[in-house]
Amino acid sequence: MEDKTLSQLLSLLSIRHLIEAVVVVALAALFIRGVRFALDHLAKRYPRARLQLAQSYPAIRLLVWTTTIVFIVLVTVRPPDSVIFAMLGSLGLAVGLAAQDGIRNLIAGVVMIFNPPFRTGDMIQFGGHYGEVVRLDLSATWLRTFDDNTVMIPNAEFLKGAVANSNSGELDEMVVIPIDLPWPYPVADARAIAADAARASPYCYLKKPVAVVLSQHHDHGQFVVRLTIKAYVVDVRLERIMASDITERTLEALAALQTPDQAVQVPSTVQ
Amino acid sequence: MTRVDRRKATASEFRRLFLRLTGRLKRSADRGEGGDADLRLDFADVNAARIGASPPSEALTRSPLPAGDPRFIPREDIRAAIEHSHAAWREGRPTLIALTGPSGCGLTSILNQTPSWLPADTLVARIDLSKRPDTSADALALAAGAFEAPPPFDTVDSAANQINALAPRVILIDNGHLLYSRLMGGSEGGRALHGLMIATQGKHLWLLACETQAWRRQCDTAGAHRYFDITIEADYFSRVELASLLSTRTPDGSPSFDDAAIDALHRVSRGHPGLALFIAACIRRADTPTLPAPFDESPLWALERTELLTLAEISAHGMLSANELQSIFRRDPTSTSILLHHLRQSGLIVGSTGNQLQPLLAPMINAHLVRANYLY
Repeated sequence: MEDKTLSQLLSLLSIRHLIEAVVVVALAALFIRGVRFALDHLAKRYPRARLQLAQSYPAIRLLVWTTTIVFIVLVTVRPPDSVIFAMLGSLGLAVGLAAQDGIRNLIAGVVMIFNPPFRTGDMIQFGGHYGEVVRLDLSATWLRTFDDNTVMIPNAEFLKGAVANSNSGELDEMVVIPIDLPWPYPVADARAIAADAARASPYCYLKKPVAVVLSQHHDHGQFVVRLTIKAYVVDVRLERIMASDITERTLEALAALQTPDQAVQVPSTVQ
Repeated sequence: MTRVDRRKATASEFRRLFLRLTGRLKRSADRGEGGDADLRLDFADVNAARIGASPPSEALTRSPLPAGDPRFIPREDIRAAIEHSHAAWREGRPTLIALTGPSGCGLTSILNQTPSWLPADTLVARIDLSKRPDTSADALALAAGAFEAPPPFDTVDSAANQINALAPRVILIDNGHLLYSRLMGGSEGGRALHGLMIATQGKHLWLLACETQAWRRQCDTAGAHRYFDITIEADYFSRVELASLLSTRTPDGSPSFDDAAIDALHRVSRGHPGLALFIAACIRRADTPTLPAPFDESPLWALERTELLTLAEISAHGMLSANELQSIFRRDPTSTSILLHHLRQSGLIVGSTGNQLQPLLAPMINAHLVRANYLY
């Protein structure tokens, strides 16, 4: 029985079928490349929709490759039912061996397409890396950090650990900027200055609220008041620029607030 | 011919074919030039030389129209809303009205006509903002001028008490976009005037005319929409209003526009009356085609992030000086000056002391900034 199925399978692998399959695969690859080009072009023309456009690419690619494989098997090769069942059995075996890393990553990639913890364009924190998801392949995800490093993370890893997603498909995201001040300090004025500095930054997204909260802790033998500025940035890619801009404005204004007899050093910690 | 040249030639042929199919290409003989010419209008042409050099005739003037001017195109829905709000206020309902609209849609002209829509016994005062009131004192001085109140106002509360003792009147505020400021500490003046309006709305009717982008910012940062219970939204002209505008402004003896020309004019100008009049003046020239050509928007696509952010802030503020831009973007004077000169030479902004978007191009610039996520 197995010999018969194998001989049937081999008889189907004619030169003609192979050429047709190669042509179909090449056309599919070309089509995917075209889709990628079109989506990139559209994203440049309509930056506001860039995340949605980028997010549609993995699903389109999966659909195209699935269609291609089904087309090659059912239309080009057209194997008898026994061979199809035998192939499905083999596929089942492969899935059964999914403990193997490659297949595990592929399956994780498919799971992430249907139940995504993040999408292309999101800012995520995972395994000590923080950056923008720039590419979502079936087996791996690529992040670009603010240091302009590209980090590749196997997809299976995401199903094991917790992922922090900063913007969840939105272009804006909350940026948290802590600034430490020595105690005593006129905190009411400092809070007003910090909020004003956040709203004055041209990178701040004003449709969402700006908040400043205070907390106190003990550090290096002295009490420290921490101003935590929470503001939304208009585009996730400007996150660090906004944090730096708001910090600079706040520190300058706080320095101007101090009278000579109050002159104190204003240490700051920006995360 | 090298391979690169061949490729460029093919691309040029495709481009020419596309322009011809979309009606943007004129035969070279029409212009007396060697090759085919792209007829799309350049942004820089609006400012300078080639097309817009001569000032428009009185009939085609793009200035705001004074009260009772027969060239004013009736905006019946806006008039009805103002009359209704005024009637409600006279019956004792505290009322603040915001009249918002995109830059160049005719807010000042509407404000100019408003007194004639109100009963004859209505007292009307007007505040024309020409500069941004940075402090409470600036804002209170403006209010004092409008009410012709001799003693200077000290605080918002004392000003409200004094103003509430005066006879009821309608106060029209033009250029309300100047009440918004992104500068650190710069919102004090706007907040003071908002406070005065809120405190006196039971006695006086305030009507604030403000460009859409600045109004959105005032809503986002000061919650203005919570205090202004009536918001009247004006827009650019509909096709019917544009046809009416052209027939009103067409000088005697000039050829009138047919339906196709009006359709094209409305599409290209997006209903902006000033831009429509400008293009109408252009296409009357002998060497331009009957149908208006669209603008070449490539200068907008060539802008980089800082320039786009600068345009967005200028749009949201209505007008910004170089010093204000330096403060907002924390740039040195030289780089600010270079940036502004570049934007000015590209035809995107005008003004030497107060920089503002080129009024005729504002619809295109704003649409681009919204698309690129710099305005919201």
